[in-house]
Amino acid sequence: MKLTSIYFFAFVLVVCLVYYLIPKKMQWIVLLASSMVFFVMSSGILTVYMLATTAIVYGGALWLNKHRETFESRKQELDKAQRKEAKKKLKKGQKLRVAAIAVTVLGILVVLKYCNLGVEIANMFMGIFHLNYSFEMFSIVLPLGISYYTLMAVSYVTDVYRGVIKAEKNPLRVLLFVSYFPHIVEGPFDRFKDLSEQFSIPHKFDYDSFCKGCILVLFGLFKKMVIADRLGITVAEIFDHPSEHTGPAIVIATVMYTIQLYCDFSGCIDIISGVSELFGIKVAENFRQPFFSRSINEFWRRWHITLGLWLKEYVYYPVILSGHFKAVDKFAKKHLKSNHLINVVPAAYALFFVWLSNGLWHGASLKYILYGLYYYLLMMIGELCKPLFEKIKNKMHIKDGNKPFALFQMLRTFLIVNIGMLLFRSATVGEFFRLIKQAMSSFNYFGGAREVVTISIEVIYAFVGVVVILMIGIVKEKNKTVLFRDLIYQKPFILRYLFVLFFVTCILTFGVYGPGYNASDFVYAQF
Amino acid sequence: MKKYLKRTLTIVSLIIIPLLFVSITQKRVDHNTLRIQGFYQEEQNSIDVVFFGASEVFPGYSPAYAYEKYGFTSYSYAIDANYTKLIKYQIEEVLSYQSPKCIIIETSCYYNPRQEEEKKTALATLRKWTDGIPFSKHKTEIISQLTDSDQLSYYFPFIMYHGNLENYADIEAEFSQKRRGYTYLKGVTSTNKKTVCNSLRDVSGDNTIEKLPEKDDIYFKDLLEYCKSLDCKVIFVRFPQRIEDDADYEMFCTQNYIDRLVAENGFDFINLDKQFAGIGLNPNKDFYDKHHMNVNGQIKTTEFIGQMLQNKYSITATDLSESNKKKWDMSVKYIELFYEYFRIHENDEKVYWWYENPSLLSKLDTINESYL
Repeated sequence: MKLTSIYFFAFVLVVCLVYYLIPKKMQWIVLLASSMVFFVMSSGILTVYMLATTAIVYGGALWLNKHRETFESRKQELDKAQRKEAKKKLKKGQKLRVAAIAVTVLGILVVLKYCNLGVEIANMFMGIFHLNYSFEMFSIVLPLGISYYTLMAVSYVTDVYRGVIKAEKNPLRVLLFVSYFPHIVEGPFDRFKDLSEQFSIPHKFDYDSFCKGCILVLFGLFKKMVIADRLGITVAEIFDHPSEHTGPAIVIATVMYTIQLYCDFSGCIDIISGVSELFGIKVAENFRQPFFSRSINEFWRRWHITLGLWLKEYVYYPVILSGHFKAVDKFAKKHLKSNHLINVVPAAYALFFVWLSNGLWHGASLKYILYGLYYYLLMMIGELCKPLFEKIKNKMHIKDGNKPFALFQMLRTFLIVNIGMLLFRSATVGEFFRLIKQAMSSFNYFGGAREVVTISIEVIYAFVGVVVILMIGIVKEKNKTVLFRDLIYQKPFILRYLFVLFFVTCILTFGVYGPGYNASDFVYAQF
Repeated sequence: MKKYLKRTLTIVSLIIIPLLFVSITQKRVDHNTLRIQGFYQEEQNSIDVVFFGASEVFPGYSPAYAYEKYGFTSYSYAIDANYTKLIKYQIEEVLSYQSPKCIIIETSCYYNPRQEEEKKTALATLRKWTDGIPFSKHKTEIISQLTDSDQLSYYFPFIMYHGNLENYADIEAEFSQKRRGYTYLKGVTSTNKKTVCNSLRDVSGDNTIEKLPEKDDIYFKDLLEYCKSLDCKVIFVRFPQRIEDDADYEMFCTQNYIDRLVAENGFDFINLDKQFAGIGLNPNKDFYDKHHMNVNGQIKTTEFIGQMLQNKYSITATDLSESNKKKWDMSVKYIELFYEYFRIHENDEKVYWWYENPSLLSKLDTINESYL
């Protein structure tokens, strides 16, 4: 069931009606039942993987709890030394248990999603050593949103381990957290502590919140159907037949792909957030105008925010608490003279795992690993050269608030992101380098633009849509404390009405849907 | 209560207004749509003869000219690349609006192998037809029987055609026709284009038979059975085509097979490929390509068919209401202007493609004013 299909919205409408008509205490059961229906309709028998993951983290969390409770109950009987020893044992035992649970849950993901990466790497080595043999790829169908629900399940059990939350006794509530249908397709990565309470409290129908949710859905549909899918037609044509196109067309298509991916992903998140708000449940923010970022660090704090937070919480922190990190830190302090380097090197060590995980999460392919490491490398270069950049800035008397400099930084970040996106879009790493070479072959961008428009004149609609989104982005940047939909809702009725009318008409007129188009799925749904 | 009413009205209007907007502006209109829609603008039970078929029909026969010369009313219920399977459904549809004295089925569309092979073309043809049909129970039956997916888009064409930048001139033509309430040219399309015939084969006495493709054969036999149940006269006609190469000849031979099937079932078949001399067709002047006639050919073929219907099949004029008579008289005026306009541009090097759109009508109006 696609998030832009009429069936999905009919489904949401029915769920909404039942949700607000039944006793408030039962509302979470409606969400659970609808999530199950949604999951089974999308994944069929593969739902068992999701159920297995839920069962493991549910049981695992209770196991951790029981282990801790056993210690707590015996604590009083022990003397100080014994208690210290038992506490140490508890800590180790808890660590081992959570690691076992996480490895089991992630194991399902790895086996299903990454076995072909192993085959790809094995075949690469076969080639390197000139062995005339190649392994065949496995043909595996993945359940819906496996990368999302697995990581959320891991976050749940880790939070229980850390004592952030208590293990949930009701397995159905854990199942609802893992399978909650609005966020199962493309996230965001919500945490149990943020959602479970919202699931528990009664939600009374609120017309204004409902309307705001609808505005967010509309906004998402506009981004997805008018911009992303419209650009997708031309982008696909160029990247599927790159040899038939000029270098400038490749460059323009890369920029279009970056915008497509943003509008696709953030549009989907808007739909998800909007739908969730119809039930009175707020999911985490995942995008915050990423193209206004002045550095790559900032970009990743604004793009796929919840993935960044997840990696920080569940990869970065465990690494800096690990023994090997401490060894690196010790080594840096002992052997490096510069204070700057003493700080940068251990951080670089820990961040390596974060960005490797980021790349791996995006896909089971070498290009995705390279995609993560590309950003890692740029960030590390940026960190290493920070003192140098500061010196240059000071010499040129450039202040942080300087607007032309800020614009330069935004454009620079945008360029870096586009190169990353070209790698992301390329079929293989080899093709990425071929495309880079091709992009440098000519600089006739007027010709390239003509070429792009010739493929599909209707791409103009998408460009107009981009201008609309850019204007809204500027408004959002200027009003960081107020949500855009609240801003719209504060306007007089007639303006609000015309705004919604404009978006509905634009989506129906210029959106990519129906049998005349091969409407693409959400790009991030495969992750 | 007032608050709830306001909210309900707001939500409903936010759905209805955009839907109305896209339904009116986001559609595909071409000469096929205009012709099919024009048929439903005719007064009920006022058409004497209805033609069915593909693109050979509407450039080859002029209902308004036939009305002027022979008095009976007729209409070409034909679409580009029409195919075997659809004809029966089209007859059913027409008979739910009109009770013609005679039905003429043009048989060239019975040999078009690409139709079954290229599902997309077949779907496009189906849409060209269904897009022009007003909503009715029969339309729902047609769609459910002939399609297996995207059925909603047959009722709401904007689902299929939205976002199209190239169609606004024809949408304007549709508005203009709907506003007027009837068609002037009765769906005729034509051109001043002429193509020279290099090697016309003489097939006047040739009775070589080539069987129809399997599916066409089944559909055609089914159609013959269906025609037996009809209360009106049914005639099968092959519109004239230039037989130049082997493919044309093969197609011609299938017409001999159709001739045999039609005769076996007690109907008449008239193969105009064998009547070039009788019609007075000049292969070098009367065709815009080997399959389709230009205005010259249209006039001659209309006269031939008109005489045949009048003399051989005794098709006479139905008494028309005063208002309908006025409309047909107006069509006669416009078809005369159209032929006059053709004569002005007959020898132009530039090729013109004509159908009833505001651009052509304004030019015809200009000629009309110059007469006055």
